[in-house]
Amino acid sequence: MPTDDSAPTRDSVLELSDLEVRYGRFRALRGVSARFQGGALGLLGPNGAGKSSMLRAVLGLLKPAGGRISVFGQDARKAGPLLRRRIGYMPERDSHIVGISGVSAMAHMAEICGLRPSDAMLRAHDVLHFVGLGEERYREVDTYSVGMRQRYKLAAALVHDPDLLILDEPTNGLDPQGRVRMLRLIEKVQTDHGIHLVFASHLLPDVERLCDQVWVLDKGELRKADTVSNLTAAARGAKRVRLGPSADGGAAFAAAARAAGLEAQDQGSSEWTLSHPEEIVESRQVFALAKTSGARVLGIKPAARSLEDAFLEALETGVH
Amino acid sequence: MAFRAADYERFTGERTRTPAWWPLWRATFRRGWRSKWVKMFVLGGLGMSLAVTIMLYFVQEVVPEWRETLERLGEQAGGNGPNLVFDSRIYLILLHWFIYPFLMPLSVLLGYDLIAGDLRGNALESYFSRPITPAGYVFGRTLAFTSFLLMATLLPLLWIWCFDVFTAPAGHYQRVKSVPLGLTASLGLTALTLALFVQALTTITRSGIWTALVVVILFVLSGMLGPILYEVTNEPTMLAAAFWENIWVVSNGMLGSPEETARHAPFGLSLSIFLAISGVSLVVLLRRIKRQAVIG
Repeated sequence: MPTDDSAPTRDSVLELSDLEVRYGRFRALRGVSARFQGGALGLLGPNGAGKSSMLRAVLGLLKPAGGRISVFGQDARKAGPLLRRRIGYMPERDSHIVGISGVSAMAHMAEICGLRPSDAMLRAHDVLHFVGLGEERYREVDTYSVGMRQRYKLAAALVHDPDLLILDEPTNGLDPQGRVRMLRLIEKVQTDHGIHLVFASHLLPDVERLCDQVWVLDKGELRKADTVSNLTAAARGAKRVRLGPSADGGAAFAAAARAAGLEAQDQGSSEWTLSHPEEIVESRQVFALAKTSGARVLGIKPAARSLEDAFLEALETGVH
Repeated sequence: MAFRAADYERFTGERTRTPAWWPLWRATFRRGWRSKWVKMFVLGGLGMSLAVTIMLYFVQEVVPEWRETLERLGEQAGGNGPNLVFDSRIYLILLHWFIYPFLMPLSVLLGYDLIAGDLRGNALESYFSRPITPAGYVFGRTLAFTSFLLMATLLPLLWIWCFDVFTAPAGHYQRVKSVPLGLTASLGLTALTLALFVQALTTITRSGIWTALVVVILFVLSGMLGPILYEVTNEPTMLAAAFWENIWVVSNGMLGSPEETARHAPFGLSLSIFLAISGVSLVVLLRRIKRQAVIG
């Protein structure tokens, strides 16, 4: 397992111990154990990996078949409803009260979380302004566009000012502009106000932008749990080399590298990644290859993997 | 309205310890007032109570002989006992004036989209990710629903009772002192049963029109079935197949009315049917709600 289960758990925002969730005979989550100490956690996985099941189990919407869920150090099942005052949840599917205005529905949701009616109404206005729905707040949510409904759901998750924000595919169905806007809002809440974030998505760039930690789920199992910086860190001493303009685009340089037993991958724009399965690629080795192939080296830096590489590797290898 | 900065701010106010179903009660109650049809029926109930009050005023204050005349007429017409005496029997008739034209239509008007709307908008997922449980949700909704029905029917009846007691001749109070309790019990049980039944139905049909149709059809069909079965078998228990018969028998029993019950279903059976409808509706309601919000 990627986490040390013997470590103290007092400060954990979310801790899962051997969590198992079943739908009849189907095991949606199988013995998942992990700990989220706080910050922003990305929950990655292909469709059907168990992300939504995990979130629903954390919220108490699903009763686990086994294991334990702890949120802010409290047993989620025992603390139950009171614990949910500290959690804001944005579901993947549309979720709204029909037949009343956005601001009334929002205030109603805040009251259920323990805010006084006057505070709840004020807060409903505030969060709708924050997500950019101030002008639309007296309209019924039924009449909102897809993008507006996504922002409405975010506002509903924030209206009672939670300490932990759980977002399930918040950028689903948004156009590029709407997506950027949504990510900015989430980023602001998380970084400026210290609200812990659990962000489930299959859009890796969104997770890479917002999260500092990642759990990768596949077929109900936790494949990987690590920080984003560790996952995208330099891989096995590989180097990314930027070459000067040449007629062959660096083909001769790559051929020389391969002849020397290195792997050379074209990254486009005259950039190449050189790696060796067991050894660190040294800078002087790069310069030597450039010299023999007649290429001009403009820059060398450690090669970083994208989160997508790490994600695919986790799924393929099943490394824990 | 004051200018509000479009920025996120942490909430620094106090949180109440109010149970989570209380805001749901308030919201459901407010929602009832928004319908013009509901308002019309509530006003209709108030109008009915006003009309009865005026009638009582004339009978008891303006022309006191009317009362004695009416009572004498009742005794002569009834043969076996007083039929028009202003006792619990009159309240039984009044009760049914409020149940059929007001309580039943209001239960459909109020309930047809209460939970069906939440199912359509998938609001349950939002509710249950907050500090409210499915039981709290059903409790808040049903309490508000029942309270609204009672406000539109029980309050006018209690007003009539108060007016009757204050304007009637001495000794009348002794004859009707148990009426408020009987009215509350019979209307409370009827309203609760209807509230649970209509809500359970909406979780299945998910459509207001279908819910209204099913309630009307069930009521009419059961009303026809009971007497037919009674005619065929000559067995009064068969009358319990009719919903209106059970309403009559239960309210009659709870008001302690001297009504002859030989041609009616037994009180115990009718009460059991009420309780069974309520119990089954509650189970259906909770199961459908939990399934919808994936609470396992």
